[in-house]
Amino acid sequence: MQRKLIALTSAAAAVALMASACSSSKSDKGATTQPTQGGSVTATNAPALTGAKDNAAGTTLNVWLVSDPKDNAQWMSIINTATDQFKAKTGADIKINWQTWGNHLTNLDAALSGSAADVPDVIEVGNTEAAKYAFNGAFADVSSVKSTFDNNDSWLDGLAAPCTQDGHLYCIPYYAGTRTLIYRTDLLKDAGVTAVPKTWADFTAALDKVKTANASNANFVTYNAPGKNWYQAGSFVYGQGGSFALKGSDGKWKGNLEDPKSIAGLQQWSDLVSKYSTAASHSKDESDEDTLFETGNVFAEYDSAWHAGAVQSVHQNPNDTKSPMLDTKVKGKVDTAPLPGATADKPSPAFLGGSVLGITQKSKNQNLAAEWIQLYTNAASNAAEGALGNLPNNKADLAKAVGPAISQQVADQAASSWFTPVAPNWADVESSNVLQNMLESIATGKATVADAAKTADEKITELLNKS
Amino acid sequence: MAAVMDPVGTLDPPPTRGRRGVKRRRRFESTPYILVIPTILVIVLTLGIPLYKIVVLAFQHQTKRELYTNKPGDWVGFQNFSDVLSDKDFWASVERTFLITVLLVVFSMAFALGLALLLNQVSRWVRTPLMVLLLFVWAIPQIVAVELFAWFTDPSFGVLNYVLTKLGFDGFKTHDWFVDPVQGWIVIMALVIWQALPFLTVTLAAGMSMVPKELGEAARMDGANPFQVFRTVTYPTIKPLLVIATSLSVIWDFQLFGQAYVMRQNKPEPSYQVLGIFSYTEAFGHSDYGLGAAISILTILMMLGMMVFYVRQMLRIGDGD
Repeated sequence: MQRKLIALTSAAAAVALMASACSSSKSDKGATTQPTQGGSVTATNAPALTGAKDNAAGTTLNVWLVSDPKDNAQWMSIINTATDQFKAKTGADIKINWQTWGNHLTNLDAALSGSAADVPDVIEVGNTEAAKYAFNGAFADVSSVKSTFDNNDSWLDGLAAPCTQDGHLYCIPYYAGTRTLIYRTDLLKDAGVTAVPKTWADFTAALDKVKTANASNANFVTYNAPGKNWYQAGSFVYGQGGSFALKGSDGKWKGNLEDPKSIAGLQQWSDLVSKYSTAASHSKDESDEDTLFETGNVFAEYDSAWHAGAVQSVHQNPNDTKSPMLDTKVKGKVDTAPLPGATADKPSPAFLGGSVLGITQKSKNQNLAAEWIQLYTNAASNAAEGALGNLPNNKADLAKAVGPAISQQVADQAASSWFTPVAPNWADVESSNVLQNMLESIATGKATVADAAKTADEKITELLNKS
Repeated sequence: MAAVMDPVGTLDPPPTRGRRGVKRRRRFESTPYILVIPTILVIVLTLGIPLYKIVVLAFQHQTKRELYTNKPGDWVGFQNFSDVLSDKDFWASVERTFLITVLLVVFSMAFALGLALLLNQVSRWVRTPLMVLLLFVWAIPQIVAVELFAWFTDPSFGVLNYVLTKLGFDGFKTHDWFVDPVQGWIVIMALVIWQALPFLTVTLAAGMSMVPKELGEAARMDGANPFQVFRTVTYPTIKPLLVIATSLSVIWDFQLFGQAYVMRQNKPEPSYQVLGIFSYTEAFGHSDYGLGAAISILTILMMLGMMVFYVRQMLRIGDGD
C-alpha cells in the first residue's frame, strides 16, 4: 500500500508540475479601484493628477524605458539634461529601469498588477501597444495637463491617435521611426535605370530590369519581402485606400480586409512577393532580412530608415556593441526612397512605428511624472532627438529636424503614414499573428488572397470585440 | 530499489489470516512523519497554492482591465470552460498535441532502447565515447539546441539545404522546411527526440547492465534467439525503468512548447499550435487569464487521463516486489 501511495503521489506531482509550468496565476485582488476613463467623464471634467508638483525633494520617480538609449551617449545626454532640469525645478529625482522590446510587456503586466509602491510611474510602450494600456485602466487620464506639453497641437497622428479616446488623452508621444524602401544604387544604375522610380508602374519596370540584369546570379533576390512582414503589406493595403479594421456606427469593430480596396492592396503585395521575392522568405519575418541584404545578393528591402546604415557597416562581434565597425559588401551602395504609389506625387504610405510615454493610474506621483515628461519631450529635447535620427514627436519639430540625420524624404513619409486601428484590443491581433498568418498563407500559395482575407477578418472581428 | 522505497525499514511479511490476532500492535512511529513535513510544505507552497489559484481563476473573468485596476474578477461559472470547449482552434491543438505526443514517445523510446541495447553489446572503447557524446547533447541548453536546428534548416543560410544542393538535389536551394507542416514537424520532432535520447538511453542502459549475464547465457544455451532473450530476460528486468521513462516522456512531450515556439520565430503558424502554445497565447497574448486557467485545468485532466495506464503500471510494480 505504501508503495502504491508513493507511485500515485509521484505521478500526481508530475502532473501538477506540468500544470503549473504552463500557466501561472496572475490574479491579484485587493484594492477595488475603478477605472476612471470612458463613460460619463468628458475631457472638460478630466480628473486632476495626484501627488505634489514641486518641493518634492527625496521623491524618486520610477521610470521604465526600453533600452535603446542605454548605450548611446548622445541619447543619454538628452535624458540627463531633462532630468537635471527636473531636479532643479522639483527637487525630485528619477530612476530608470531598463526594459527590452522582447519582454517588456510581460514585465509590465506583472508590475502593473502590484501595489502602488512597486508600480512604475512613467512607462514607455510602442505606439501599437499603447491602446491596450491606455484604454484598459493602466494609464492615467492626462487630459488636464495636455496643454503643458510643447507642440501638443501638432503631434504625429500615428503617436497621438493610440493615446486618445473619446477626447481624453492617456499617454504622450515620445519619438517615432518610419519605414522606407532601401535599395542598391549600383544595381539600379547597372540595370540601365537612371532616375529613381516614382510611380508603381515605373518601379515594377525597374525591378524587371534589375532582375534580368542579374539573372546569372542564382542567389539573387530582386526584392526581399518576408511573408510575415505585415508592416510592408500594410503600406499597400492602406495605400489602396483599404484598412485592417474599421469601427462601425454601433461601436463594434469589424475586420476590413475583404473590402475591395484592401483586397487590391493585398493583391499588389502578393504580386510583388511572387514575382520578385524568394521562397526562402515566405515564412519568415523581417528580423534577418539585413543579413541577406549584406550578402550583396539583394536589390531592395523595406524596413525602418536606420537599416540603410545598419546594412553598410556591422560590428565585428555582433554580440559586443563596443567592438569595431566593419564595412559590408554593400558599403556606399545603399540609399532610401519612398515606396512608390499609384502616382508620382503620392507614394505608398509608410508605417509609422514609435514610442509613447504613459503615467500609471496607480502612481502616487502623477504630477511629477507629467513634469518630467514635459521636460523630456519639450522642443529642445525633440531637436536633440532629431539630431540622433529619431523622428520628433510633432510636425513642427520634424520640419526643423531635416538635416544630416533625417532626410526630407523620410520626414515627408512620416507626415503621410498609416497606422494600425486604434482599438483597445489591437495588441491581441498582433500577438495572435493574425496578419502574419494571412500573409504567409498567401505568399506560400496555401490560400488565395480572398480566402486568406476572409479568415483574417473573422479572427480580427472576434478579437477586437472581445470584452 | 526496496531500500529506497521503504525508508521505515524492512517490511513485515504479508500478514496472513492466522497470524493477525497474535501479532503485537506496532507502536506509532512519529519520526517519518516529522521528516516528511518539509517536503510536504514545499509541495504545498510551490504546487498547491498555484493550483488552487488556477482553479479559482478558471471560474472568473480576469483580463487586462482587472489586472491593471486590481478589480476583482467576476464569477462566471463554467463560462471559460464552455468558451474553450466550443473553440475549434482548441480542439485542433488538442488533436495535434495527442498525435505529436504519441509519435514523440514511440520514436524516442524506440531509439533509446535500440541505442541502449547497442551500448550493452559493444566494447568499452566504443561505449565510452558514445556515452560522452550523449552527455554533451544533454548539456546543450534547450534554446541553444533550437537555434542550432533552426540554423541547420534555414532556407537561405541553412547547412541542410546547402548539403542537399551540393549532393545534386535540385529545388532545395531556398527550400523552406516549415511551409509544409509535415516536414516542419519532422524537424521539430527530430530535435525533441535528439534532446531526449541521452537521458532515456543512459537510464535504460544502466537498467540493462543490471541483467545478470548468466541468465542471458543460459537462455542462449537453451536455444533462445536474441529477440527471445530480450523478451524473457532483459525486458522483465528493465520493465520498471521502461515504465518510468515512458511516463516521463509522456509528460515532457505533452507539454511541448519551447521547441515549436522558438523554431517558428515566436510566431507559430496555426499548424504548429500545440496545447502549450495555445494556452500561452490565450492567457498572456490576449491577457485572458481566466480562459488560460481553464485551458490549463483541461490540460491537467487530459494528462491524468493519459497517465492512468502508467499509474496502474507503477502501482503493479509497487505490488510486485
